[in-house]
Amino acid sequence: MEREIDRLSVEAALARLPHDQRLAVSLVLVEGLAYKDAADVLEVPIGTLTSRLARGREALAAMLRPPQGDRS
Amino acid sequence: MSVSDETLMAYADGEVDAATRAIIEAAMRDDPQIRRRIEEHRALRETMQEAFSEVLQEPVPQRLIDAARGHQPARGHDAARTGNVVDLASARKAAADAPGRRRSWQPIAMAASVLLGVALGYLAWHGSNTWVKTNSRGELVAGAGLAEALSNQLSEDRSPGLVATTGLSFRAKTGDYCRTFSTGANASSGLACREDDGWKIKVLAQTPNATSNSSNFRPAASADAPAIRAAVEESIDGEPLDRAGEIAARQGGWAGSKR
Repeated sequence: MEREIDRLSVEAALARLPHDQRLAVSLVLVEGLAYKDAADVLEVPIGTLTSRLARGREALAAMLRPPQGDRS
Repeated sequence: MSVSDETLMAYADGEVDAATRAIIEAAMRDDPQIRRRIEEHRALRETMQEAFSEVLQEPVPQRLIDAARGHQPARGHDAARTGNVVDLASARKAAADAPGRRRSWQPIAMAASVLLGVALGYLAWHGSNTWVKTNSRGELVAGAGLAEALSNQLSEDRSPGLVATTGLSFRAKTGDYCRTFSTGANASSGLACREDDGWKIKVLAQTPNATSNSSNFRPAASADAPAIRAAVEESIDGEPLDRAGEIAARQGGWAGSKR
């Protein structure tokens, strides 16, 4: 049950990311592609992929962070 | 020295070269903050993988599976040959009979975005955009081969050697024409709708690879993917097109009515 809630909150958080970031995160973190492969798929330079991924991750982490662990 | 967060992220993902790794590992020893950041990156990665491995393996409500499989074996082109109209009708009925299990559009859209990742991952390995590519706005659209199939093939066309087969055509509530498709080659399938600038991919699913090494074994043929079936069910306006309806729509270039 706890897992179910987890999953839903992760999905919801992912869905709230901007499209570019969501794709980068999906490819690298969910799908497990190397940065280079993900960049090829999206037809962007690897630096672009990396920065989308970093921003996407940061946003996700902020959304998923438990309320008490609120220091950054 | 300071290391950028992007570099730490890349380190956590195993994406840095040996020299950078050495620098980061030295920095980690002195700086608990850096250790913590790397841990966070790793933890998030694990969270994502865990969360979505469950989506991809999620059991499909048995009644929908039964309705969808009904009278067909789950195998490639042969599976697709049976009447989709009948299948859809029984799938709908099954869904209507089990309202508690029926999925709403929203979670499907989310799950679909995950499935997109899976399919894109496939493309990364095979380096082809015959199939699906992103347009200038970053949206997924049909690549040349798939667009050709969607625009020209009738659903009953099952000649060998097709890039993709089309399954079911219908008019969506948005006024656009939409079609389901599948390709035998990579066990992927999806739903595409014809919009002003091409076939937009609405749902894309890849049959998860079987753990078995036997190349004979393919789990449920892709046209039956529950996310696709459910998306059709949610977006269809009226009944699927019959052959005459498909021919007429094809003649009109699949241009939808004004939204």
